[in-house]
Amino acid sequence: MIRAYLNAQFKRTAKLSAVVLPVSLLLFLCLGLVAALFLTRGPFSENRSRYGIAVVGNIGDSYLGFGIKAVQSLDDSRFVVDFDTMPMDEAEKALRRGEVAAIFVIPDDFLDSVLYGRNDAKITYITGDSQKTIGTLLIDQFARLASELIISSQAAVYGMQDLLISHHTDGTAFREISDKMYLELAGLVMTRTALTEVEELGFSDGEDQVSWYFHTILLFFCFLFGMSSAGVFLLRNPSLPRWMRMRGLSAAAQVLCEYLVYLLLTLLCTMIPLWVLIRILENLKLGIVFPAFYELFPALLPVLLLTSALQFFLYESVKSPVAVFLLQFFLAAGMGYLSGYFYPPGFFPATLRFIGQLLPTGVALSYLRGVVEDLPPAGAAVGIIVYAVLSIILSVHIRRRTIAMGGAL
Amino acid sequence: MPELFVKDLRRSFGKKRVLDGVTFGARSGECVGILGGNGSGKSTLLSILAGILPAERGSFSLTENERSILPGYIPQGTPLIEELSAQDNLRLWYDRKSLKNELEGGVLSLLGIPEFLNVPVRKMSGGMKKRLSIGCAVASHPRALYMDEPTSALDLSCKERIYAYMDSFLDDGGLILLVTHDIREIERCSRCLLLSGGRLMPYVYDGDTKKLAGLLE
Repeated sequence: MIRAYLNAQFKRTAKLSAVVLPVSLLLFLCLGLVAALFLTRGPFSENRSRYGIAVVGNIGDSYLGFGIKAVQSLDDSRFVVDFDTMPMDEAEKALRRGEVAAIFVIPDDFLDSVLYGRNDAKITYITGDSQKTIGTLLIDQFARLASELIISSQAAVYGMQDLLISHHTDGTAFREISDKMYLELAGLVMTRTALTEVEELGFSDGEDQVSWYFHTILLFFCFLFGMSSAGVFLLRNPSLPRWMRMRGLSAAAQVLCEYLVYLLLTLLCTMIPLWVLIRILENLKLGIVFPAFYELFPALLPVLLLTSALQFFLYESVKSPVAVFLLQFFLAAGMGYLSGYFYPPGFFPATLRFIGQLLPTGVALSYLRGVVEDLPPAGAAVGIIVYAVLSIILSVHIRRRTIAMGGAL
Repeated sequence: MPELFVKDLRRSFGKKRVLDGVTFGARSGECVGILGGNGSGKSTLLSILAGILPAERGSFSLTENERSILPGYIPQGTPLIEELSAQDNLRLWYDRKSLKNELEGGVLSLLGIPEFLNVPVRKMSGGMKKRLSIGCAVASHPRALYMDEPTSALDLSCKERIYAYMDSFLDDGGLILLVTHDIREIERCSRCLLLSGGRLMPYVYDGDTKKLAGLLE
């Protein structure tokens, strides 16, 4: 009986796969191409990671203009800032619209204050509350470093000039010493980048951002896959389980047969689109190195075992198409969010990070990265097995209840 | 010859007691009609007797020559997989050899199934689906059939085919429990039982449909 039922389910799913496969392929390609464009031309690309700074005040002065130009043109690290001079009201609007990350307000007497060594006029740095992120901290640090460096050095130069004048140094010697000090200052400013060094440990836990998002987007698709194959569940005959039970096929045997067939469909409808997607992305020459298909395939197998078991459980529990679609989407998005699919987990508090790692999405991500990055994935593998087995056991329990209590008689 | 004994069956759903002390019997060659209003517990009774639902209390037995046998149960739903053909569906219930035999002159032939053997279920009419469902339910050659509204929403031609099969089944010494709302089927029954308030009582249809409708309310 099991063989006959398995055979019937194979035939049924094979017929449905004629619809499910093209839909999956289409979804996969759309998702993959959007992700590729996002990673290559979006906010993660090199050009878009510059922070805009609005400068308000008098920068017509040659010293100040020279300093700002130097900062703007010489810093070749990834956290480069773009200075843009504008009136205060425009700058505030730009900050509210998110067009600039901060405003530098340079007071009118700033230069006098520097020239006479008073240092009582300060550059005000304005930013929005919502922007107190790693970028804001970097800008803050950067501004402090630049202003201290330039102002202190210039104050020292003018202090030395005052000293030379008070010692009645003659004009020629004065100019020689002054020129030498200015050259030293210029040399110091020019080589300012040597004072700091940015060491990149990776986007999150040693992984670069393209690789991280490639994995998370791929997993997000896997967790959403049931939506394109929903017909397999939603077109089921609700009376069949009871008839099969009468025929002697237990709820557990029914669930295992159906799950096995669904797992094969999932593999087919994930691996083929993935292979096609990787080939297309490689040919597009986006400048991104994608993992090889033969590396991803074995890494994804246990993940698909987990996602298909979860989806089976979900569709076994909820019969309404709209409810199950919404539930699947919000579960995948919510769990994915906590597990760092859309933001690196470092943004979350430790408790949420811990929960995110324990969720099925977190376990799947740990396993996939573990295999691809040659990290030990044993803990995540155990998690995958636990979640998959638990989902199947719960599905069997629900099927038993469906047979005993509900469904069309 | 098959014999059915049911004694003091009780079943509730939540606080609602659907069956309360149901007791009756049936024997070979009998078609026992079970009547009752919507939600009176007719389908629940058949489900319990088919072994799908457990009873809270009471007992029942279906025997032939003092040996326990299994019934064929035809609920209102169908056991059909919509994406597959009639033949593929029947293979779930018959082995290759018996399927061939039944199609060539057995019960499947009597139900007219060879006419639409390769048609996908989703393209079948309601009558075809019901006949195919009956064909699936009787695959194990049961000696007792529990039928839950087997001809509802079918045209006369389909009904006649099903009645012909039921007559042949009874002539062979089978036993039928028939849940129905159809006056024609009530008239075909050897006797009827009326389920009301969870209890089963004998009922003799005397042609007064209004009186019957009043009893079913």
